[in-house]
Amino acid sequence: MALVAAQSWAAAPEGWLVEQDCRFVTDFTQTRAFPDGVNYLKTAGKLYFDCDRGLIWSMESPIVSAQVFLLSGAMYYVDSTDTVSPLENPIQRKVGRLLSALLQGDRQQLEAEFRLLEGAEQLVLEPSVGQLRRALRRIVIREGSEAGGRIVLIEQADGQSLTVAIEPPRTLGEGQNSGGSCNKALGPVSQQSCLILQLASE
Amino acid sequence: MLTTEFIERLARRGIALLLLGLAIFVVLKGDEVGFETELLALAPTDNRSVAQQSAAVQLGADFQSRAVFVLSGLEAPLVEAARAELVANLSEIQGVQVVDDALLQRVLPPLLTDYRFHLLSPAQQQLLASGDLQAVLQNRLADRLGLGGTPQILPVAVDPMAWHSLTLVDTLLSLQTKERDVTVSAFSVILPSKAFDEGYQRQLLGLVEDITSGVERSFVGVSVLKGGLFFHAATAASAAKASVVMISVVSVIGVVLLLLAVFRSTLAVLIPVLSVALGIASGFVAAHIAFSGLHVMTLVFGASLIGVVVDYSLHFFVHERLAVKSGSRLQLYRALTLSLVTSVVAYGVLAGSGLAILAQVAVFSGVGLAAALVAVMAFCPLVSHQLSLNDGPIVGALERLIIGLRGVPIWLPAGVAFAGLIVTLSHYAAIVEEGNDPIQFVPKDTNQLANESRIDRQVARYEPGRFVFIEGQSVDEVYTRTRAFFEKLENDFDVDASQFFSLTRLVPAAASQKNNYQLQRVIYGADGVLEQFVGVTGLEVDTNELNQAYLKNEKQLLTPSEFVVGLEGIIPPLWFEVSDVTMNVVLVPQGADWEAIRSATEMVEGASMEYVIERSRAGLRDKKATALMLFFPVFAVVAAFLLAVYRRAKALLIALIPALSIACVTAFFALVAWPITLFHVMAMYLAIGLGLDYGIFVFEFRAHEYLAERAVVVSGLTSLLSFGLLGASGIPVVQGFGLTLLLANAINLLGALWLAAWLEKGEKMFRLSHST
Repeated sequence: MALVAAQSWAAAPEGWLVEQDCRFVTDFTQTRAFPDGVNYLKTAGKLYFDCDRGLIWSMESPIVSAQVFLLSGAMYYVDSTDTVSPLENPIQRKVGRLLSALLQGDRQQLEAEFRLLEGAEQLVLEPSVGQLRRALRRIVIREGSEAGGRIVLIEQADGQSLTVAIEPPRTLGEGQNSGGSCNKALGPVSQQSCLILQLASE
Repeated sequence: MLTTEFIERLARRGIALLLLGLAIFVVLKGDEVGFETELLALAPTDNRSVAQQSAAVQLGADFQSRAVFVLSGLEAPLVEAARAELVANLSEIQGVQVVDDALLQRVLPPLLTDYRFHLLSPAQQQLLASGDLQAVLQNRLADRLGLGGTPQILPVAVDPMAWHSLTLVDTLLSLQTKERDVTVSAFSVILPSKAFDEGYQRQLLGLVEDITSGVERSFVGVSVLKGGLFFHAATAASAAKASVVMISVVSVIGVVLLLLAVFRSTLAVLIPVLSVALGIASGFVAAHIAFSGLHVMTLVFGASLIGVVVDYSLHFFVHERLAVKSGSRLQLYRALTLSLVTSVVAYGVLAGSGLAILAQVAVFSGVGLAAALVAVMAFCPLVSHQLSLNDGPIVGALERLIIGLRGVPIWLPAGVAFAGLIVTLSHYAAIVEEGNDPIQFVPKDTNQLANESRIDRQVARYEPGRFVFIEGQSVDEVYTRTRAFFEKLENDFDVDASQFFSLTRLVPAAASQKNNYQLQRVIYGADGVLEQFVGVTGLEVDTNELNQAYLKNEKQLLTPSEFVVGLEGIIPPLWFEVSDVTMNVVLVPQGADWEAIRSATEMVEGASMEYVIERSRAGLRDKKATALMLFFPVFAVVAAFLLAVYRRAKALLIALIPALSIACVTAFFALVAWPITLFHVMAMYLAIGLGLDYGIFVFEFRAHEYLAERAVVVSGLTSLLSFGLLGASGIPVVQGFGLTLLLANAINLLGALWLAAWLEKGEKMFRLSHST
């Protein structure tokens, strides 16, 4: 594993994904590419992160729904009618846990399941344990087109790939209560998701 | 008219034909010669139904062909890396197929694609049954558009919503290995069918050992355990070979030294060795032809033939002086032929034992003895006149022994035999019930047994060798009965039936499949979920083609037998359709409540328990009980045969010799609580043949003082040497076989000498009475 300069964005765990404060929101676009090389699916939405509670992956287009990943490990899906159900898809649960770990800078958790290959321009995570290797091939994190942004490429074992382009984050003030900042950041469509996050800490 | 010269000429022609036959065999089949080492080949056949036997045979073959590898270490990544290397290296061995989740993921999708419209997971069934189309659509959109998502197991063009991929994921999860500990990783391999051919087996074992030790060296801290019948068979084959070498070498050396001591001529060694070689070669070829191969254990037992075959030459040389005096060897040849016939009768019982290995021994030994006799008749006359018998020390000891035995009245050996019979009968139940463990076929390899225990504790989910069979007249009936069985377990015995593995859980019953098909019409109909999904996502797929595929596949139901055939080698054969019987094999979880299972099977029609070890044990027990009972008719036949040949009641004393030895040996084992196995009993049948041999010669030549007795003593000593060596083998069944023969033949020898003494006393009294 090559050593990188301390100034490199990839050197420190907390710098891998975004340089962020405890609470931030950012826009993302996700492109799912299929092995046939012809088809792909695009989703746009917002990512809301609260270092004390968890994160919300809020999809706005072409459908409105959200995936909520709590730091406690619980995960939920909220559909467009605000119906809440436990998130059962194992790959979604795994990716959600990974995203939380990255955003928290939890190097220990990452190293328990991945080999971390740090380069000058990208960070590569390769699953090192059998169950994860069955689902994922590798995850590559690079700097985005805008400073502060990131591109996360998730290559699944079945040949699908998810490319998530994350815009530079917008920090939310510490002073604001979590529920208020969440609703404000994500809008009324995510009220239920924000409630889940808020209730999680209580 | 039958003359000595005619017989000997015939014998020489016979030998010429035999040699020609052996040469033809070597030319035509020489390269096919090898030894089988399968342990299941040693199991007795049984009288279960055709379906059950078929299942047991195929399950046994599948079990036998699998080897398990378990890697463990302190760090999961290191264990995973070691596993990857081990899998890669083993995959390179020709004919070896690694069976792991990767293989399952490659094989299952193409197998199930055509049946996708009839298969649903329970969660999918519930979602469709709700009738809420929007919920179905939302479910699929969230999956495809959200973070992560269902693996796209089927191509997007076939399964744009990953709906059927979700079903396959559910099926895969049911079949995949669930490791209890991330620092332990396991997989199995299917070995090629020739893995039990002795020559290839050695090679394969060597390769596997090199690969596993290489992985352990490269990944320090990771240990590799290996388990499976293959490794036990290899150990057994190795031990068998060692036994053969020991028995053959020591036996031959011993016999050669004895012959040199008695005859003081290398000619006396040459002909017996030649007859042994021809006998063993003929026996080998005959058994190979009759059984399309030979088990390595046959060779072990056959090696003991050396001590028996050499008897014919001994009798010939010892009786030569009488032949010279009388000018004819007809009496000798008659005695030798009678001896051969009684031995073949005894071996014939082995052939009917129901054990393949003993049937092979019977053919090997019967043909071997016959060929050896023909060789003796052909070659011994050419050299016997040059030999002189130097058995002074033997004759001296013999004379003293026979004088001592003269005082033994007839009622004593008869009484001892009778007492032995009573003791045996009084312990009959214990004799039958004990000593039936199939583990007796292999030498105790404590290392391998310890490995198997550790593997079981770490990774085994299901009991090996224990199943529940559920039979019926049709597939539907079997499904119904399987369901009833699981319901009984849960409701009546509080057993968690979900831990059992049944193919009926992976392949829904026909009615369920039809129901699944109907439920999916909301997906594939006009304005169905599929159309809406594609509309929202904009995927470039031909929904019309997919809708048409749905309509065309209405009748495409998956059957369990198709499923098993499609996954052949990956999962054991768990479904059988034989004649008009259908059978489901249910795997039982480790540590299951067997009493509850037994009770549940008794309450459900068509259900039965199958325990391979117990089945083998019961088979061995039944065969042993039958063999013990057959002693009575065998002795009756022998007695009738002796009366028919000799036409005097005195001839029945010949049968007393083996009767005494069998009764004494059996009583001895019973009294010291030594478990008698089927192999001990089969050895007793051979002892009958040997005892009759001695008795026939003693009786035939009773008019000639110490003539037959000398041959019997020397013959007895050679037999004791070779059987004694069998008794020193590391393989329990071989050891038991040899020990029984050693004890029984020692008593045969003593019995024969007593008969000689008794007959001699009778002759002297007759002569005395007629001279006065």
